[in-house]
Amino acid sequence: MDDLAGLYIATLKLLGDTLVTMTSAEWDAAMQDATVAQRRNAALLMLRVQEARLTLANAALGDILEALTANEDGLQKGIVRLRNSLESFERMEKVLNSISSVLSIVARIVPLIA
Amino acid sequence: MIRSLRPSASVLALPLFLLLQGCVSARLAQFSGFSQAGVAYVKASGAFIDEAGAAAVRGDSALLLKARPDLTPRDRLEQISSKNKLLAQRLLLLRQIKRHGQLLQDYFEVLGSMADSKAPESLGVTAQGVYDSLAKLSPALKNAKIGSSTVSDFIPSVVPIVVAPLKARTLEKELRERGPLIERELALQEAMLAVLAREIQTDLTIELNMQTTREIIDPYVSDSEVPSDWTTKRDEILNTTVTSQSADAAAQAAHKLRLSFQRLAANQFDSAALSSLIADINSILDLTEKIKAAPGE
Repeated sequence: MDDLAGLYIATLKLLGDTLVTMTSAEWDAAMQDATVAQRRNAALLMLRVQEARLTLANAALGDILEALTANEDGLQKGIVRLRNSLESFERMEKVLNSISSVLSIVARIVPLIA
Repeated sequence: MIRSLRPSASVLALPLFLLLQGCVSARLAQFSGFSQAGVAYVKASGAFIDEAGAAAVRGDSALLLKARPDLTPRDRLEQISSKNKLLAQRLLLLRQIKRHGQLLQDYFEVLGSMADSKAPESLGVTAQGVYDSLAKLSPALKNAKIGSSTVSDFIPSVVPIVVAPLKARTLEKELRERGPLIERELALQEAMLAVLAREIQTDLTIELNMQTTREIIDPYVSDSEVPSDWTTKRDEILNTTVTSQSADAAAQAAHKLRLSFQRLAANQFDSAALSSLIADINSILDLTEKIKAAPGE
């Protein structure tokens, strides 16, 4: 996943940098002397780069989401198991509260009183 | 003096007991700290994901508006239809990623509840109450010592030693069994934020480019007077440029969370590491706030 994410990000950077160039003041200045047809082609090119960028980022996020979803069973099992353990400990603590804490004190008192 | 305990045994038993309890408490504190950081991360990344979606729509709108004067009506219809579809997919993906994040948050929260060392204190208080009642009956008990400590000193620590190590053992077992899955999860979170950070950077820069042209360059280049708020606007826009370049901070915080998990597994996640991690996670929130506050159209 790391290599794939790296590849996605490198390509997204390339596409993003292209769009940043095509929206810069310098680009606007260069397009001022362009013909109507040239301006239309440049505008369509910019929007095609944007389309490629949106499509690629969606594909990257889709792949990541698929992998995250594959983890969900395991996460859910972890949550259930920890919650069950927590409930067991809470029950144990109630029992200790009522019995063991008194017994531990009594165990220390008996030798003193004897 | 307690005759039934040999002095040598009592001298050895108490320090060892206190040392073991200290180790258990420290380990539980590591889990507690990490779980807090994990919950904070999910909340912060959720806000960042929302901003990534909003920035994607704004960036695309800015491009469509820029291109519009040079397009035919047919071009415009084709372009807006295809972009709407892609953005709808994007926003759906982001909602689903956020929904998954809620499950991760639930996991961190229950981990934190297990590591919570507050519960046993109530048992210590009850045991102390019983001791105090009995001590009134027996002056010998009141003055009794175990090693160099009084029996009263000993009481609150008796009860946690039963429960805390069991909790720590449960958490260690969870770490062993779920460790690879959590490691994978955090790697995916890092990848997700890296993609979104890259996209937010581009979207914000596109927006800023057009805003710079419209509000700063064009008014300055033209022969007309510049607007009265031109200097303020320029300052705001340049500062937002800095924000767009620091979007990587979000991905770096996710990376640090992953490294922190590895440290937790190695029993090396100390309070200094926790403070540093929390600071990085807070930087996601700071960045999100700055993006939200960026000068709009």
